Parts: sequence; C-alpha cells; structure tokens
Amino acid sequence: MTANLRGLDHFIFEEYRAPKAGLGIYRLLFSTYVLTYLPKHLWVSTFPNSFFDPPIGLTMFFAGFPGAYFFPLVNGLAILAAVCMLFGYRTRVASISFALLLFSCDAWGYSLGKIVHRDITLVFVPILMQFAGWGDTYSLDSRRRGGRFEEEERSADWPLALLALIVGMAMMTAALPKVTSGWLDPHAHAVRAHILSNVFVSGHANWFAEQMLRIRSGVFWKLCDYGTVSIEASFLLTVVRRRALRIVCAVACLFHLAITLTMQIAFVGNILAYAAVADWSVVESRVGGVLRMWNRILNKMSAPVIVGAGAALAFAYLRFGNPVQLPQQWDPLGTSICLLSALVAGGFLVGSVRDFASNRVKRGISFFRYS
Amino acid sequence: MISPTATVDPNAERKRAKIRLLFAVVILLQPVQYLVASRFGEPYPAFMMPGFSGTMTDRDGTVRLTNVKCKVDFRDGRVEWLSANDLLAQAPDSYRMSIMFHMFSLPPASGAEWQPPAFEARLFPGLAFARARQAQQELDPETKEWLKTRMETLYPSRKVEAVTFVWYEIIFSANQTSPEAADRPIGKREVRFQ
Repeated sequence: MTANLRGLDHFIFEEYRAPKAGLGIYRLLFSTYVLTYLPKHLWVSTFPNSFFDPPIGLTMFFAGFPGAYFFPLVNGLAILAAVCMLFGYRTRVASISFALLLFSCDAWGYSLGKIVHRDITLVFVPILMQFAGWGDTYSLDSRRRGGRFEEEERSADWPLALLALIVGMAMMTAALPKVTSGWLDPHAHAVRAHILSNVFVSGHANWFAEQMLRIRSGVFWKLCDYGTVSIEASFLLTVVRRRALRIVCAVACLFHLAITLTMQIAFVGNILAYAAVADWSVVESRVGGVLRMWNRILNKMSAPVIVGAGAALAFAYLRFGNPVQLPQQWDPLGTSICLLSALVAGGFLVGSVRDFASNRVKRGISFFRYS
Repeated sequence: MISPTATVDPNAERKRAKIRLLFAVVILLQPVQYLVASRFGEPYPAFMMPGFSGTMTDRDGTVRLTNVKCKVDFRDGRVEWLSANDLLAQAPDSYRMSIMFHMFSLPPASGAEWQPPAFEARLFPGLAFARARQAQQELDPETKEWLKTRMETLYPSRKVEAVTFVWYEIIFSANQTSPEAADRPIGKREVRFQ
C-alpha cells in the first residue's frame, strides 16, 4: 500500500474515531433539538397547486402538492421517530425512519421554488450516526442488551469521517459560487450588499445590521468578503485532520452567530453537524449527575411508554403547535443555540491557543536545556 | 502496527473496500451535483449550502436590489400598499421573495406563451407546468382565485378591484446606508378581479 493510500485509510478508518459515550450525548442533543424544530411545512397546504415549483428530485414527477393529510401524518411519524431516537429505542430504525420522513417532508416543502439548505444536515446526520453507533450509550437499546455495546468503547470509525467530508464538500458549494461571482473583486462589497438586501428586501432590519451598515471602511467590508469565502473553503481543506477541522468548526460557529445577529438567519443545522466532530465524552465528567439521572429514567422506561409518549407529543404538537416555535421573525431558539455554540467555540479556541502557546514554551525550554 | 505476515480477515477487508467505495461515490457525486445544478437547477437532496452568489454591486460601488410591492385598488377608489411579507404571511419569511419571483414576476416580454413538450409534461409534470406558468401573460385562474381569497382575508369588509405587483430597484450609492430617494421602477403585473 502506498503512503497516499495509507493516509487515505487513516482518514477513513482512524482519524475520526470517537468514544461511544460522546456519540450518545450527541444523540441526546440532536434529538432534543429536532423536537423543538418539528412540525414543519404544515403551511404548504394553504397554497394551491398552481404554486407548485419543484426542484430536480423526487417531487418533479408530480403535478402538485400531496393531500392535506400528508404533512400532519409525516410530521407525526417524524416526531415519534425523534422521541425513539432520543431515548435510544430501536435507534437504528428510528434514525433512518426520521431521516427518510424528514427528507420526504422537506422534498414537498421545498416545492415552492425555495430550498432551505441549512436543514439538509438534519437528514444525513442521523443516517450516518446510526452507523457510528450513537444509539449504543445512554439508550434503551444498550439497557435492553445488558450494556453489551458499552464494552466496545470506540465508535465505528468511518461514519464521522464521511460526515466531515460531506460537510466539507457542502461548505465548498457555498464558497465556489462566491469566488466565481465577484466576492473576491476588490471593488465590490458583497457582504454589505447582502445585508442591505436582507434589511431592505427581506425586511430583517435590526440593531446589529444597522450598526454594521454604519461602518464605511472598505477594508472592513472586503475583509468580511474574504473571511466568509475563507471560512467556507477551509472545511474541505482541513477535513483530513480532525483537530484542524474542529478549529474551523469553532471559527464557523462565531461566523454563524454574526450571520444570525445581522441577517436573522440561524444556521442551526450546520452547527449540529459541526457538533458531531466534537468530543462530547469530555462533558461526561462535568454533567455526570444529569447523565446518571438520564440512565435512571431509562431504567424505568419501556417500549410502550416511549411509543405512547411519542404519539402523545405528536398529537399535542399537531393539535396545539410546538410551544417553542414562536411566531416571530427573529428566531429566539435558533439565536440562543447560535449564541451558546459561539460561547463554547470561543472557549475551545482560547483553550487551543493556550495549549499551542504552552507547547511552544515547553519546546523552547527543552531546546535551551538540551542544546 | 500490522506485521506483513499477519493474516487479514477477508470479511473485514471486503467491508473496508466497500467503505472506500462509498467515499469515492460521495466524492464523485460532487461534480455531478454541480453539473445538474448548472444545467437544470438545484437538485434536492444535494450536499449543498446557500451560495449567496453575486455582489449586486456596480463598478462604481452602487448597490442595486430588486424588490416588489403590491398596490391594492379598492372599488371605492382607495388604495393600499402591501409588502411580500404581508401577502405571503403564512409562508416562512425565507420563502417569500422566491414565491414572489416565481408566481408574480413580470410577464414575459414576448407575447408567445411556452407550452411544454408532451414528453416532458408527462414525465416531469411539476417542472414542465412550473416553467409554463412562468411564461404566462395572465395569471392562471387558480392563483387568481387564491389572490382574491387572500385579499378577502386581509380586507374582509372591502371589495378589491385589482392587485398590481410593482417591481422596482432600490439603489444605494457607494457607502450609503439609506437608499436613494426615488426607487427605479422595473415593471408591473396587474391582476384585475370581476
């Protein structure tokens, strides 16, 4: 095997190996978020078939929207699957079902001439993570099998590497159109123009955007353009090194917070995908009490209780609405998640810089000691 | 470290080969995705993120933004103005301008309406009809009916005579954060009710 192939094999099978406990914690976070996010696209039924404008894909073979019962049914099943995913009951089936249900719901929801890109991560994350074994800890599945999964501490290796690669390629699809459409032109200020469009066309006027638009320095706006393209391209360039990718993800969390505050677009789907490459097992020692309590809850849970709870939640959401989905233009939950992720990312970056600096100092000391 | 003489489990090696193939397929899908997106429009699903392409800026730094507002004429002679956000309040705000462009943009300059080829209409009816609708001079009856119902919801006690979608450009001179006093009209699409 050549060195290149060995390097490729290392990336696929070694680089993204993670403790299974961390993946279990990540599953809890992911499932909790999707339960705040569903139901969706229920409004589509208020539009007639003449508004049907499908993208290239599944729905282009149809002439109009599905019947009025489609969205409540698919959302109800997706909520049930998300509850099963949260408790880790038949996690593999629940994760794949959730992804397929969300995909079909989104495919029809995006048939009004608009694709919301940031949500595609919510479809492919559960599919890949169930291969990684995210249902093997803090789950009913592991309890039912007497904790047999937990003996094998490390996850299946390749799914996280594939997820990182997909995120890297997806982010590159955001960088390339910018490069080819003038974002690098020294005379154009693309970020400024997009904020103006967001304020004056989309109606997202807010204090942060106003403050930002007051800045007249061309250098500042050009740095914003270059910075945006650089961050988006960095994902694919660093994907083979987990540590480097984590730093890029952390910087991107700060970038997403800036977008949320100025443009009111919360890229929570992206943040959840970045969170997959973090090592959540380090949280175990800090929130051990909460996780022990979660395990005690799992001990009292049974399959009928989980399915019943999922069905009851689906009914409540569809009948009365999701209480955390506030009918406001400023998405408070998305903004809070972006803010929290930026704080965690900031802490991680400060820690990384400190580690780097202390290593340099240690190396310097050992150099002088032995030279 | 695996020694050169160590035996390799053929099942494990087969599994690893399949996984390598999966990675290769995902990488190869990327150019296919680009090709489909540039030739036919963006596919779904796709591993794509929003491009925010274009700078909307002239060489002299002037920013030009396209926007639309709806003029509502009532039978009693009064006039009200609606934004896309008001008209399409049921849809999430990220959808509204896309729907406005697709449904209520300016009628095509040439009078000829586009009819999809029979094969395309049969195999991809959604795509074919969406394209045909965009080429219509007049709004189709179903959309007109929806618009009428929407006006009745927004103005329950008043009779609407016509809705005009006024497309215009908002112009910002270089480094200005307020638009120029006058918007530059691009064109209009009028929908009259009986």
